[in-house]
Amino acid sequence: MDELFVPALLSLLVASLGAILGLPIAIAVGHRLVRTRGVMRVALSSFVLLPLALPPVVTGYLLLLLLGRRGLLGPVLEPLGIRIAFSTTGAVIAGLVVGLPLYIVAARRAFEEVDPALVEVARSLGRTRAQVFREIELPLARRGLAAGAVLAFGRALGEFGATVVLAGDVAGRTRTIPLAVYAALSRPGGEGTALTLALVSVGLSVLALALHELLASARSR
Amino acid sequence: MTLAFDLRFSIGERVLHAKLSTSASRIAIVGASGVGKTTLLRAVAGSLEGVHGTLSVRDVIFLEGVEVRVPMERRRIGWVPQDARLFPHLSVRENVAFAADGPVDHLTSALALDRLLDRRPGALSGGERQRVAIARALAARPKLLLLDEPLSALDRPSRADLARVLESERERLGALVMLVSHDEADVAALADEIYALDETGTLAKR
Repeated sequence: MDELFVPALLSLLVASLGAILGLPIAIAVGHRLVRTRGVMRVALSSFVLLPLALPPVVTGYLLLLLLGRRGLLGPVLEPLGIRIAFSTTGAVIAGLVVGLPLYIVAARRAFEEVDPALVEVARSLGRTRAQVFREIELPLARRGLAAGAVLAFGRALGEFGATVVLAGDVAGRTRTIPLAVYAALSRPGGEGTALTLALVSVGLSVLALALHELLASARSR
Repeated sequence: MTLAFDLRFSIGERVLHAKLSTSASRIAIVGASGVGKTTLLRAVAGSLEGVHGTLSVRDVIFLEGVEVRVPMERRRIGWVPQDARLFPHLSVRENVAFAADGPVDHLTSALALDRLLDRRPGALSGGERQRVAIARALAARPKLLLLDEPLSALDRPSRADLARVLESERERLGALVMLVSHDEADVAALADEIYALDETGTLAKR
């Protein structure tokens, strides 16, 4: 049973943490994108959307070059006791990064949909930019942000390539459902496990997408 | 001077140069649709980008050249925008109290909002929304009321009632009024001086 439960729970954990930790990033970048114009907007937008276009294996490799033990930030992370390779932290980071573009696009749309006249009125009534953000823009964007969180969650659930490259395949630590399906298919007699895991994966994904649809339609009403 | 400005701003490709100096407390801006009346209000409010020139209200300089001396949030404005623009996620009560400086009961009863206090803007009629927008602006105890077609969604008898409420509150607060309206009766009830705005920004006193 552990072959089924542990990857399923790990997938849920990794995807949930990705959605939670990605929220402030999606809010900050999505909001900034609405206010940025011209070349800066194109540059920022291309950079944050990059993981959407890159093969996940390449995203994982780039993350490894950045965060791995011998990576750019390795010497900073190691003394802090943060280990990326073969750790759940690595799986969370991989899931978060591949889910971020969808999250940010959803956040940008949510902020774009806030009527600029409401921001003006709130400012004229004595609120600073930061207060208007907190009291008007954020509450009005919340459904769109929630829809983005669900999309990012769904994307992280399906993450394989970046996770394998960055965090490796370790049962109980980094072996989420996709990795467990691959591992089961790679050994003789593993088809049954693979099929059950595939069904669990389909169920979770359908749930996430249905929730996204519900949030999206509630927003347009 | 109660209100004086000499402002340059643009609407798309069109550059406007609006100049006015008055000691009246209540002025109205009239003119054809799309000429820039709302944009002029936004320039005075401080929410329009790319405005330069001078702007002073009761001899306090808000803008000088491109330097904003008093930012929008400190101009003590009571803005009633076209179409009310209430905060959709807040109840009527919360909208009115948004910038309230003290109790607002007298306003909600004068504007007949008492039975609507727990409703959200989405559940209000156009006229009700305008009354809430007026209450929200007055509750901030403004020194400058910017009224953009504030009574347009109301029927004739309600307009006269509301104009009376607006005027008595304005007097109590000692606020200036800058009104934009297409309606002759509203202009007559709410303004002492009338200026016609043309597409170059010129304001001609009527």
